[in-house]
Amino acid sequence: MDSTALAFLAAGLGAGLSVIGAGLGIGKLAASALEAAGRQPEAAGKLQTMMIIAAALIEGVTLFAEVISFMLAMK
Amino acid sequence: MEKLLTVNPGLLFWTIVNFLVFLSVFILLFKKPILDALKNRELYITEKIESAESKLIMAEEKLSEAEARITNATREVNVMMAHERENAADLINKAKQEADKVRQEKLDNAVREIKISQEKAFQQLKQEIASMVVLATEKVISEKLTSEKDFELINNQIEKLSKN
Amino acid sequence: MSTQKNINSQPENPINNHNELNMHSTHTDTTSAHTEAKHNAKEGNVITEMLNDHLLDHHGYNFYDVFHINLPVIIYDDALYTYPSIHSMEEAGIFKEVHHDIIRNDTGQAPKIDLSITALVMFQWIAMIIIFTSFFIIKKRYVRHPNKAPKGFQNFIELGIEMVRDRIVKVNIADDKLAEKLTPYFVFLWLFIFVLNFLGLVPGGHSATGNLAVTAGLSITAYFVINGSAILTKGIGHWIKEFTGGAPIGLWLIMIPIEILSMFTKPFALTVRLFANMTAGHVVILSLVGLIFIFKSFAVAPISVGFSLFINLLEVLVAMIQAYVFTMLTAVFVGLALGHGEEHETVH
Repeated sequence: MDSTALAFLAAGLGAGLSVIGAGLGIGKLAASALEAAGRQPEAAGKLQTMMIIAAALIEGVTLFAEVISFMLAMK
Repeated sequence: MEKLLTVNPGLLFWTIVNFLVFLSVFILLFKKPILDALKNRELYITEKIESAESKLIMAEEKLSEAEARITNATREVNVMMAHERENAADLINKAKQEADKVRQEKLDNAVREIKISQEKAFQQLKQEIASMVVLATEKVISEKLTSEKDFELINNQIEKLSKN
Repeated sequence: MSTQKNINSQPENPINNHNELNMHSTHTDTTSAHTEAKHNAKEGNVITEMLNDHLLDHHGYNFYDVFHINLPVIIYDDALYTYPSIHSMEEAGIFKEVHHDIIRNDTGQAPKIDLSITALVMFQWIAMIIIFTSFFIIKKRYVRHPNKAPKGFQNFIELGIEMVRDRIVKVNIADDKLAEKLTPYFVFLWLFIFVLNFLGLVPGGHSATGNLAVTAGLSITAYFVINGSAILTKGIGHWIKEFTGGAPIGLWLIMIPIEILSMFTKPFALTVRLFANMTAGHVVILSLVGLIFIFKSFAVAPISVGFSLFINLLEVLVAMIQAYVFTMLTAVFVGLALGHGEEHETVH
């Protein structure tokens, strides 16, 4: 395996790993948000807004990782 | 494809220029007619709702006031009616009594007048008889020479009397 | 760069074109459809070519080879050079275009500053035209019947405006006066990103928000709005005090670098988030379509098309959510830049 192949491998693995992280994070977030909304249905609107913000923050970090993977793949 | 992750300064410049220009044009053209109009409409609607609510409260107050007034009035009317009924009965009684009294008085008066007039007539008769007696006596005394004359005299007198 | 691009006008989209080419010959004959492929280092790599076509910015806009719009080229190197199109630039002979890059003929170097009106700048103008015409349409009714219920298209626009104003700006910015002042900015920011995102989903469209320079431009303006509103409403002293994060003096050594760093990472995160979200969908769709070329078989087509349709529908969702998220996070950052000290005071 030469270095280009390693870079591609790293890019693929990195993309997959960061998606695992994001999936876990957003999954936990959605689970708690749904639970909270179930307990207090009148607060569902506020919870949704907060959930989207938190999801966007988690997603942002993941996207950094994805961009780095992309850079590796493009080298 | 590496270009995907590089920032083109020309495009960056144009984006900022575009955004700022569009934003200022947007604010200039649409802030007043649309965004402010939206706000004003909201204010208008809330104002209307508030005034409608206050009017509703006022109307309810007036309604309850009017209802209270109606109940008061009916009670008063009932009281008044009962009172008037009593009054009317009293009046009728009084009127009856007065009428009775007046009738009685008139009856009494009539009876008295009749009595008085009877007495007057009686007395007149008495006086006349007395005067007649006096006259007769005078005539008898002045003309006692003849009994015929007496008779004549008496007869004359009687004739006079009957003529009278 | 040959000048054949304009002469050719096959009324087919490039995907079909490539497909046909691949089916009939292993060596792609790109002279007819895509002259750029000639200059591509990986000649015959149609997928890279396609990705280039869809994801990158270009001098001039090409709609499926049906028509071509020439856009002016403005270059500053040793002097200011302006050309009405990329072809006239090549004919003038000072610069030439290689792999979408403009380089000087004599030195082989890229010019210092390339201020050309590119396809994505044009798409920003299209977005502006869409926004302004739709607003002009509804403007009449507001002037004529200011206090009547909205009707038809007006409802649609009002929904967006009130969503931004009530659920993004007023919720996150505690200062009512400032929220009032910033509402037009947020409404326009949301509309602009929303329309740009959707222009990328229209056939033949490019999403300008799928380019780092565009999202960086939006984030830079957002950066100035965030810090400018904090300075203007709370004063510069308060703004500097915010760097301590309300922590005791002992922690300042840690807090101040973190706060200064976070001041820059916030817009940076906004930039990358919007760019990556908008690009990712396109990359996935193009990769799915690219599978057809990799396997060189019609059998893959139904699966690819089905999946790319699904991703496209997902992108409609992403386009709306990302416009919302960008605006929302900008409002949250404005609120954070303002409200930290106040919160701190009320706690004690």
